[in-house]
Amino acid sequence: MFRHILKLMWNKKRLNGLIILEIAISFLVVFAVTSVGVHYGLLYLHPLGFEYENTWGIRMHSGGPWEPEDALVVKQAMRVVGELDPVEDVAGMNIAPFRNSVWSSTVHNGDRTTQAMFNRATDGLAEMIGLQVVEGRWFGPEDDGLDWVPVVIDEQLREELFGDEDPLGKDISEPEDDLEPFHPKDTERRVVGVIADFRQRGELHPLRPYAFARYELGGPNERHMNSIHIKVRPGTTAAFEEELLDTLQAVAPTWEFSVKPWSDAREQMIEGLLTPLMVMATIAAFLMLMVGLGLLGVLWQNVARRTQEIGLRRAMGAAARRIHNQITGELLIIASFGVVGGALVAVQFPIVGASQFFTWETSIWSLGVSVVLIYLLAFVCALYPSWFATRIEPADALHYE
Amino acid sequence: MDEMIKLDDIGKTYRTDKIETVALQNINLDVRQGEFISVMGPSGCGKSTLLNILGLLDRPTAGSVQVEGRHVGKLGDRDLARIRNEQIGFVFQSYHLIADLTVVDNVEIPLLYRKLSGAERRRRAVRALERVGLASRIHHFPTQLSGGQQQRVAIARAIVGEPRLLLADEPTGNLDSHMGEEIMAILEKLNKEQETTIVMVTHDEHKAARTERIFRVFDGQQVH
Amino acid sequence: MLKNYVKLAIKVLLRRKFFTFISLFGISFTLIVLMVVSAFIDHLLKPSGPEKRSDNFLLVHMLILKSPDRRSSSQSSPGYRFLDRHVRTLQSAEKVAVFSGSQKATSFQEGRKIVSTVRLTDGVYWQILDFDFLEGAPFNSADERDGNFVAVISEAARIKFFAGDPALGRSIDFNGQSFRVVGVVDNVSHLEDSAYSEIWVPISTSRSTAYRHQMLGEFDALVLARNRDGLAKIKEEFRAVIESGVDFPDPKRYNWAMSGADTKLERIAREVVDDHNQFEARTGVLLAVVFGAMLLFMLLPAINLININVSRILERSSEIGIRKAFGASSRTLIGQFIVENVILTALGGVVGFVGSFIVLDVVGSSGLVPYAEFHVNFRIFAYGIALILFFGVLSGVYPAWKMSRLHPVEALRGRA
Repeated sequence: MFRHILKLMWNKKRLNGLIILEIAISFLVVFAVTSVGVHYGLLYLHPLGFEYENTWGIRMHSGGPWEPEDALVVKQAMRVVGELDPVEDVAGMNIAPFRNSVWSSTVHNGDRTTQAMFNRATDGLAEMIGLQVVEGRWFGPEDDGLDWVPVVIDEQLREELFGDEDPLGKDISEPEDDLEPFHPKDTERRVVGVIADFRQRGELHPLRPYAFARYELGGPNERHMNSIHIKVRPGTTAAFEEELLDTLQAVAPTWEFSVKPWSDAREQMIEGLLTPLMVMATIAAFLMLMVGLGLLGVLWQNVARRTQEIGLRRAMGAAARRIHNQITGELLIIASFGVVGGALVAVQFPIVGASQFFTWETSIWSLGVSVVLIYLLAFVCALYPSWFATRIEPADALHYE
Repeated sequence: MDEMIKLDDIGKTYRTDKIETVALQNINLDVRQGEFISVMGPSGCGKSTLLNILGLLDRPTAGSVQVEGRHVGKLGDRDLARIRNEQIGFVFQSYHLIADLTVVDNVEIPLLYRKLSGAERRRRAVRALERVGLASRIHHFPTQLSGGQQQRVAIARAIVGEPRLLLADEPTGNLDSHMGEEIMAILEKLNKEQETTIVMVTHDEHKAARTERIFRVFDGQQVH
Repeated sequence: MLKNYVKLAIKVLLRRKFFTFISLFGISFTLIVLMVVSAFIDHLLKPSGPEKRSDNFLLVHMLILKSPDRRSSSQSSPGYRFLDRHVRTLQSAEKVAVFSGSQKATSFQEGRKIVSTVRLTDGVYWQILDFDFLEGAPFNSADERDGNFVAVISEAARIKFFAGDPALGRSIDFNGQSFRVVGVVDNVSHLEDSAYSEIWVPISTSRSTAYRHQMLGEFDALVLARNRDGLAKIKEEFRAVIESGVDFPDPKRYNWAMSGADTKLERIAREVVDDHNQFEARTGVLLAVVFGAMLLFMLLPAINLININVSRILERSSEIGIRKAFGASSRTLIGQFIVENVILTALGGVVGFVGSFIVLDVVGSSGLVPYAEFHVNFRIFAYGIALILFFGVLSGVYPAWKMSRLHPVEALRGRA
């Protein structure tokens, strides 16, 4: 039966060719949109590496370049804010999460080097945001007054830089520290601990190796600390922000402060990335509707023209079910050609590696989803015409003389 | 001889909107196995309707139909389809070959609805074509053949499943006398050698005279 | 004669209602998406708000600094010092405005937190951008020099802070500072990214004066040329400055700079194509990608329409054969098909036209792009209709013509 249908359609290839082309292009459209969706979906599945609920970020800067004495202002601000009633915990983290701000540096282990994203954090951060220490430890008072900088790396960085070796105690800086060439001392950066993968930019950005450098909150510090973060009691409303800002402004009247809850920043980031996807998906859905209607019409037309042939087959002993399956089968076979054609083009994208949306990982999924969706579309389009074909009375059909 | 098909007091009325057309009334017909009979009557008198009922393509609005002693009135679509496929073959006046398929693919069609392998189907189709003398044209398309050749393909298709009953609706209607002769010869040979029961609708007295019995219809009713 | 064609065409289209519906849906959908996308691009590249003179603008919005060993680099918006010394001094410029990017303004009114967008600007800003003032007037260079705490607010801000009442002379507080309202302007679309904001205040009202010494910061500069030719001269002059005339405050730290003076299109290209290391933005790549995507997108509806048309014609093959047999000439047959196609396209065009307005209205009010007003571009619409007519002729009338030349018997057999 299958070969019979193939022969039937091969002999009408010119007509079917356009339909195959249409299905192939539809496949590509669906593939493109699902690739973006799968890309974000897969990323979303990975754990964030930290907690963000009830945590607020406070950006603070003097308006001018960092002076070492500014560290004292930061320390004071943290102390004062920590005394406010709804505040449960305070810590410093130079770059706030859910922003596209990237500060990266090369790290070394013997011959191996890799690029890692860096951040600075105070001792209290790990507990405040739920960082999971899997090896070694987080920073603590024992790190005060050292002539090297303690560093905590995440598992991805550990994997890339150390493999099976033990990372604890190793120095990951290079002789000429290219992070801040104008700070000649404090170049040694030793690993004291490993945490679970940390995704500073959020669930929708690709994972990158990450490291925290310790920020010592003591006296003046040449390194800058641009934001501090607080954990507030659950249920604290935005009204507290006013009190918070007033308190901060009193510490340093010429400084600028701004408050943003981590969950707000996260929402903004997600919205920013997903809105274009939503728009694309809506347009693609309408396109599929249009294609589906077109296919339905063309197929129905096709069946209407073949009433004699269908009547004949019924006379030859085809049950209504067989006719139904034949019509549906014909469209599914045409769809298959379209899918194969479209897939051949689609698969070029991960091969070429054109962008982060078209890797092999995403393409396995999006190819699969696209195949299923296109077949589903074809199947649904064939339903009415197939039903229509079964309604053809052989007696009437053959009486066309 | 046993009965092949028995029509008992058959009536067929078409109802469309408000118009009622009576195509057949009080038809009684017994066709015995191995018979070669003709059905005759003027145009529009219901001959084709009668053939459709004989071929289980249409259900009568009155009366009963028995095939080899079994009542088929209560049978569902699937069972009727199977009987058509295994017991009955059709030949039409306008051949009704599928233009997009080759001759041999056309002949294979009835076998598609049985459980046979592709090779076996091909074998039987070629054999049927040999019996009608068209073995050399199996890969041609219908439009490349003459009218008589196309009708022979249609007959091959009708017999490829080795049916016990062959229904032919004006099989020579579109052909000249020479080709018409050829077709009649094939039908007679089938009837004699395979003992195929044949019911042929025709308006040609000469052709009808060659058959064993003539069943005449006029205005939907039997003429005795 | 034409009236007969039209009557017949309408009857035929009504007879096959489903097909007519599918064709109409395909045509109008194509037109709607074409209109919406071009309205968007139009709005982006040819703004109708304060940036209406953008054909004569260049924007300096990016600065890269590199260390002597080139291993360390910093990239961000330019700082005030860089713009003041190297952009304001461009001879070939008619006017130069320096202003900040949009920032967050937090206010508290009766315990309620209000978040708005605020922008710091100089006095020239108001001379280059053409705002629609509903009340009062902008602040000027004197206000900027004297550090007056004055503000211009948008209509949306007026509603947020003053419930829509006249705001002139009243005071508005945010980020811990207090300002006097001197002007109220019409809302600005988010897509006009140098102009949009809800509050504008002078740069000198910043809490500290440190910004004055920064090479990298959060400012942009808009350069107005006298005319289109002036744009090239400005770019040339700026390029020369970048390559040899930059005054570095600390050459041991950074001694190499790269920036660019971009038109609107170039600015988008620079951001999308992501190569910040050269003076000229790569608009070619951006345009190629956009056109490629649009082409692919248009291909699908086009093929869909062709398929439907071919199918429609095949169905009519017997009709053609019979009419031919009864004496219709090829010309009358084709004439009738052309009329059918034109009517179908016209109907689809009307639906598409109305649909475009509706969709643009919905998108505009959805807040996807705040305060944007989209307009239907009639020229693009005309092109769209022409294209669809073209496809209709190609896929419907041409096969019909071929069929009408056949012998009636062939046509009746349905061989196309």
